[in-house]
Amino acid sequence: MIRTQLAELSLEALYGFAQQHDLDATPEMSKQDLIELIAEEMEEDELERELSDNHPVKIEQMKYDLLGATKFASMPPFGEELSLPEVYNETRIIVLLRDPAWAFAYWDIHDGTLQELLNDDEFEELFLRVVELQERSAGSRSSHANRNNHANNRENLKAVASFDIPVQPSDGSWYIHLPKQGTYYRIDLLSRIGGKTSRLALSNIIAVPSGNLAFNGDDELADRNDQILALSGLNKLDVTTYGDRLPQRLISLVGE
Amino acid sequence: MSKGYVILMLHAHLPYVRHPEYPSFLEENWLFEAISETYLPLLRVMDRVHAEGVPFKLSFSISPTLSTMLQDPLLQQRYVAHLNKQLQLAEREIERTRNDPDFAPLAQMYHDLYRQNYTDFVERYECEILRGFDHYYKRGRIELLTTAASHAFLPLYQNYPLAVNAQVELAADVHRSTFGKPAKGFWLPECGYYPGMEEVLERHGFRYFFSAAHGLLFAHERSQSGVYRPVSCPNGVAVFGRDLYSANAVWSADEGYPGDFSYRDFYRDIGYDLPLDYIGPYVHHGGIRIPTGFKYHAVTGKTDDKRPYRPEDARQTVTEHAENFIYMLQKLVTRLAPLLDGPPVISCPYDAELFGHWWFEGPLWLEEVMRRLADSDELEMTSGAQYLKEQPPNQTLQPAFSSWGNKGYSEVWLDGTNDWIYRHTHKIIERMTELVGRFPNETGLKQRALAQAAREVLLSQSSDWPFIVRAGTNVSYAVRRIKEHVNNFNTIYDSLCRGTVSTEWLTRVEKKNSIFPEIDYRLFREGAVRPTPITVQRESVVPGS
Repeated sequence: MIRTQLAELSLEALYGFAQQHDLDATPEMSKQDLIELIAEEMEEDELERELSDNHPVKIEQMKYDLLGATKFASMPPFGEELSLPEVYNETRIIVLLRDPAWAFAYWDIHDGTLQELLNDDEFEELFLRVVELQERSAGSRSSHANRNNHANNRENLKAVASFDIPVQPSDGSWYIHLPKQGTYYRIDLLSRIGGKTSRLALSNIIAVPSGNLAFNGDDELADRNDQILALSGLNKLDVTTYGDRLPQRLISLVGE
Repeated sequence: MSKGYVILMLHAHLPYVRHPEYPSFLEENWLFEAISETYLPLLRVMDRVHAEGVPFKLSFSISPTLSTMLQDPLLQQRYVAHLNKQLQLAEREIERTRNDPDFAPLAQMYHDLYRQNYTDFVERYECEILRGFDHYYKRGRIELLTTAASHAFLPLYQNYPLAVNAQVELAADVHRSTFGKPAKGFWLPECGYYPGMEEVLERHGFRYFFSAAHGLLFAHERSQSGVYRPVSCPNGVAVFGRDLYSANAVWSADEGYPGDFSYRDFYRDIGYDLPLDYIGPYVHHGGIRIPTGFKYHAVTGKTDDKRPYRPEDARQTVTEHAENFIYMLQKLVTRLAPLLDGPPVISCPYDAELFGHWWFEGPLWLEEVMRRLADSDELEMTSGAQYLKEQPPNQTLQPAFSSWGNKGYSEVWLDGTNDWIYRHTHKIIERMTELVGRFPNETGLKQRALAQAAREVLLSQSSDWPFIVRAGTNVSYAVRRIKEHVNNFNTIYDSLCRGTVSTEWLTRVEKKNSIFPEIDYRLFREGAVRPTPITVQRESVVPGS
């Protein structure tokens, strides 16, 4: 069906589409070759989505799919062209938790500050410092209320580990792999000038969940709970950071 | 005999799309298709089972953006025009297929469908189809929930408690003003939960929400009942975990019911099959083909060579699938009963638009399921609020960050295609808060400008925009919407900072993005809410893993 629909487009439209999607097309290509190139790309793309998207996402996509098989056609733009500010001319860094293994940080650096840094002969680099934080009272099982208070108050968290990621002055965002789960992270935006490190901005703190089952005992109640959890669909979760971490004693149960 | 409860929960949502500046607009079809294929057919399903005396119980969450659009006179008028066009096409199709034994009955079927839709929408509901839902709400047959005001994916706004609070507070207000009483349940958009969300829900009177299965399974301590009994958050708000068995049966095109070869195929459509000189007036202007809703083929299999659709075969399959669903639930209840301390409840939340739009036979399947549930001695339909009244949670847990998106967290709404959005949507929240601080008690033009600024902030946050950008269809529209809302906000921000607001421009924007007419811009007042606590489940370690 894709090929039939593509055949209705002009050679120019097909070439334009191929270019827009960075396909390896040349102006000398025949219409049939362009159709084949685009169709193959679309089929591959569809297969990739088919494999990666779960059911709710697939259904939601169909809700919005007004173009169906002609989604490759360029819709005419409407209204005047709009653009957004590239930066907001301030120095700050924000971090968002994507999942228990990855965070996304974006930052801005005030023009004046950036120019000052770049004009300094001794400027070496900009970098992100990913700081793991733990509660000062870690070790004791605090109540929910206490833990909430700890987490809200930076003073109740202490840095226990960190690693650095160099970034370019032109960068504005980065995905960061989080080495540990069940902990807190903060990300600092830093500069190094003449061997001296200065902090430009400090991010919000993110609480990274374990992304896994909580510890269970070994008594009779625990066995019963394992059976309930197995019935709850542990083998259907398809959740990042979890799949290969199923406890041994649950593996036989979820297979039932 | 074991007894279990079933919550059938349909989440009805569409983003706010309304373009009075154009005579017609492609993306408004999202609403028109959903009314024709989902909302009206579901109302008819309820009418039929109610008329038979079936004691059904369904739950619907109707998003504030959707309920606003369903009550909008411009969109109602445009839907009637859309229906007339569909009826015109149906008549032409009856004529075109009159000698085709396979397709002629289908052309008649679509004619009947759109005729019935016209009668129901125009004559019965007088364009106000929410009355149909309200009818069953008032009679206790359905429980209505609400969801975030503009359907923001809330975990990505947790750094901005004011914004999350505004999403929930406005949703509660819109629901109350639309249906006359407060909602007890809250549907978290995309099941997106983060620890602390329950504080906001409690503040606005909500008693429960649904979470993804792992929201409960990965809680700080083991859920004693898995996802089959609600638990209480530390503040008392209850959580129902999503059941994955019933989810897969209904959602999956491969393993589930909708992919059955006898069902109507979603993709094959006369909008693609017929010559442009015939179908041209019914596809989008500019000659770009779009689906028309007239689909004459069955799923058939993974082939382009589709068989003609035979409604009687599909009807038979619907019956079989409804029976299978009931059998599966009964089997699950039987296995769960000896393990749980109380009767299990199986929570089955679905996108409402799955029923009828993608899965054409979905409303009929639901109808058959409701009949069988009503006849069952082992299963009983319930709603979240009703179940909690009879069976309060017996465990307190802190649920875990989770969503029902790919891989269970935020990656659908935060990936390389759409992560650029948040820099801007976050910034305008900060600027909105700043504006409220500077203009705390305005009236007249400034008040109007501030209220519109608040609307633009909220509309920019719809989870639909990053979703569509990632999905790769209608991308330019979603990008345009984000830019438009951010730019509208920034124009107001700059105007107020300069002390001059263009009445003409403001009036134009107010007319276009007229959602939340009663909004109080002070929702974004600094200090209006306490920061949401962040917690980590430190003790979650699996031995031997």
